[in-house]
Amino acid sequence: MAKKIQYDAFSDEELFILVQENDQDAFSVLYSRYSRKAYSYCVRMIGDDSLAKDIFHDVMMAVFENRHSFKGGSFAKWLFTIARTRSLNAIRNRKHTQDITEMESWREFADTEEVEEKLFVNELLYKGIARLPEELKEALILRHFEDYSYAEIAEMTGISLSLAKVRVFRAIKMIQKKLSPYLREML
Amino acid sequence: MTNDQLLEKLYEGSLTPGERSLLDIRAAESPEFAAEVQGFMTVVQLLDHEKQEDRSDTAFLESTRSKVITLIAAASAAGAGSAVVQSGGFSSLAGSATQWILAMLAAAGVGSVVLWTVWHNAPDTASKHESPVVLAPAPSNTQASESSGAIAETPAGTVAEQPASNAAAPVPQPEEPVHHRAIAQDVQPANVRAEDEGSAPEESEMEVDPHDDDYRKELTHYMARLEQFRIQKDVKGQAQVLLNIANVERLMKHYGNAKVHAEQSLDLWKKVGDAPGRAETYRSIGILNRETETYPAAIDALTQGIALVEGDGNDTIRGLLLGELAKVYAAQGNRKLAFEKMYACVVLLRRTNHPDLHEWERELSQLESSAK
Repeated sequence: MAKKIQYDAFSDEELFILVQENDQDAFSVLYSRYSRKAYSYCVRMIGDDSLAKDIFHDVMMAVFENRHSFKGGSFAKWLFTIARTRSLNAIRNRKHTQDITEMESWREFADTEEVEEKLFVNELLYKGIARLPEELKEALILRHFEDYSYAEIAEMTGISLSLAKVRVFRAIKMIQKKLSPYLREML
Repeated sequence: MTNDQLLEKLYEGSLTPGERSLLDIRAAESPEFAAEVQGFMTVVQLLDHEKQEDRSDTAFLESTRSKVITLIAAASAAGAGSAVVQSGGFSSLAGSATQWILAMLAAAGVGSVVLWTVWHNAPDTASKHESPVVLAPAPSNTQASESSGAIAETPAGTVAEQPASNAAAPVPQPEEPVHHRAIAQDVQPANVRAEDEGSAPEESEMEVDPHDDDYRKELTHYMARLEQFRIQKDVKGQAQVLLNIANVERLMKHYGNAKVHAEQSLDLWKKVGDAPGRAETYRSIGILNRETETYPAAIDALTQGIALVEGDGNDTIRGLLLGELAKVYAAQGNRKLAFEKMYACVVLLRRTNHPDLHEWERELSQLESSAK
């Protein structure tokens, strides 16, 4: 009787080699490891659940379609590079069509949402992240939510390490500024 | 050291004892800075809290997992080749629209008749109302109607973005599946038919296009795209993908299916009022009819396409339609009309500096010399 493969013991890259051989179980394990993280990344980057779902779906299709073009290195980085590119494209395309003004969106949300106070601030924060300038948002998400080091962020986004640090800091400061009226009530 | 630098180090947790003291002193001296530090750290705490939030949608994630796994299964089945089809391996797949499309993918290059038969005999589910699909890289002269300007992914393993076609609604369902089945018989590969009929395949039927593997790869891509567009209710996207599919089927000489898909594409373009899209599709139909030597139908399609873009300034599509029309006239032996149309084609494509201009100029030059 064939021994059952212990997929959980495999590294991401070993699993992906099996995925390249059309191994469904290997994909399933890899998907379990990263789907929530990748999906959350898309949601936070895009700030729109519906569009994020489309993008995440697109990302997963791209992973499947381009599985043979993965030549090694970190699978996680490869996956997030795809997610990042798709998300940025979506944001840029949306900008062309919706012409969202940052302040208007903040004001609109703050004025119209009727939710419990704490949830309200959390949602403000969530929407605030989504509406940060693209480069700041990206740096913040990679650092704070995805736990990448500044060096990795610099490598992934093609900027210097010091600029990566500055961007994360600026992102937090910008959120702080936007949330300041509500933060005062919380303190 | 500035206040911002202190805050940055505070966030990173890299304040030295001396810097910590400096921050405390400044906060004590300035209530504004103290409030700023407090506000900053509150935001960091909120971010930490947000990090713990699970914003994922379990049902959606599971559905996506299933879709990709189904694609992997189909890819695996495609690798297994005709055995899948002949053993009735589709039965487990014939349940939903997606699965049916994937089943077709699995069998691409194996036998359209079998596929159509399975489709026709499939349980009465939504799958019966879906369009059959096949591969499709746009042939060299085919214009993608729109380009997204999307960024390409660079690190390890590049991902080439496809044109961001805006696309579409459900594909019109074939009203008479049996009709399609009859069409598909024209393109049934020899090995399947031979097995069914118990006779040796003819040599000509055994010919395999060396590009078939590439076509199948393209099919994988277009299958996914069509499904995405269907989910997104993107009619233009579906129309474009169907046109691409028709073009590849034509390259594979699966003319029956190519015609069906081109007509479905045409319907969708019409539905969304996209004249250039319709014109492109008429061009595809024109080429198809020329290749099958049904010249009057080719002329009719190409003329309709030209009429659609005449006067709208779309010189590229009009030029390409005229070029194809010239080829039809040339095939009919009408050199005068062929030269006239080809000349007009080249003039229009020169205006747009079309990438294939030199090929059309060569065609013109050949017509010119043959006329002499």
